[in-house]
Amino acid sequence: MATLVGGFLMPHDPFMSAAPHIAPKEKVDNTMASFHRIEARIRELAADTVIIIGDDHYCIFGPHCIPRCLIGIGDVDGPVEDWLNIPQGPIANHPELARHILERGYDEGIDWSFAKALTLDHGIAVPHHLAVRSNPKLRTIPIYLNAAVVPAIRNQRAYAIGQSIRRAIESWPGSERVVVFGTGGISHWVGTAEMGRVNEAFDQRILRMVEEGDVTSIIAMTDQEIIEQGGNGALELKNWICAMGVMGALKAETIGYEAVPEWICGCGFTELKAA
Amino acid sequence: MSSNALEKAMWTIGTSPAEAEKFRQSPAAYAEQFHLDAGEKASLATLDVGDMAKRGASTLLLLMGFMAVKGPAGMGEYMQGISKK
Repeated sequence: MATLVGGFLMPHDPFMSAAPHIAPKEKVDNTMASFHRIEARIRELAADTVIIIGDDHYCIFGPHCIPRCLIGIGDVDGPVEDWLNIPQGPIANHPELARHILERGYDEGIDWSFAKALTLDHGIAVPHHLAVRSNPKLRTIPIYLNAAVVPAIRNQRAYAIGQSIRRAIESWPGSERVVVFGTGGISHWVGTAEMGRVNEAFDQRILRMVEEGDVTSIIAMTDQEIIEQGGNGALELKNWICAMGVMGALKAETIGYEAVPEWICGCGFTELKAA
Repeated sequence: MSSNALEKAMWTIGTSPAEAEKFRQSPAAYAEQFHLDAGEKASLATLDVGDMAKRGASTLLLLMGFMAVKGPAGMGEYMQGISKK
């Protein structure tokens, strides 16, 4: 069977690639060091497949259709945004394993939407660019949760989807070594009058809960509570919850954290390990 | 006539440079193609993001559509508009 060898939580802030220089150099360096650490750990883990869980920001899905959970099972390219300072083009998927995750989910009551030809937005493209692109052995399975447009996916459902993904990996007959990314957050306010605010106390509280493997407390937070304390962008914690669902019982180590108002975001990085 | 139509308009503008240019050429005429009441049309045509937010439109879309029309230099103007009481 395929093996889940690790997990990582990280931001997908578009400023990190589009305009990193607007932040103080020390914060830029520390943030990029966290991505380099993830790159190195993926190589140490000898991973060949990465599942990146992100959310769309009204860039690829519109008011006419907002999927609650979607998996790319075919061609993948991107990013759709031309201002990210990221080369636009094809991205290697693992269509067979992606299809298996979808089929297993169907059997378990997960109503996946799916894309046969998916163009990514920065929610997945930025982590791919900063932590995956340098490793040509990695194939990327993209998963989008609706963690940005209210009414958003429920926290418990995000976790259940993660659990289903884990069971799919464990039931896949191949020998793949898989890592999972939960992306986004932590605190940020997008497009609101508070844009530029970072709630470091909230961010540190979340990182402590992750370090303690206390996903239950994160799941218990209401969307209103998250929005009030962490901004509308902090709903992306649902992507983290899903990744923690993939991991199951876990222990975690914070890789880094920077509050970067210039990037309008609190940027937290964590490595997830099986407990 | 709803925030849904405002969101549709801002999404259309924000995801298509050609649509953004059509809006720039004639904002009032552009607003006529959506299911908007008079107040909503005026709000869209003037890119009154503060008013559109009060009407329930997503701030993700407001920011995206506004910047598509105004360009990167418009961020200050956006913040003024969205912060308006």
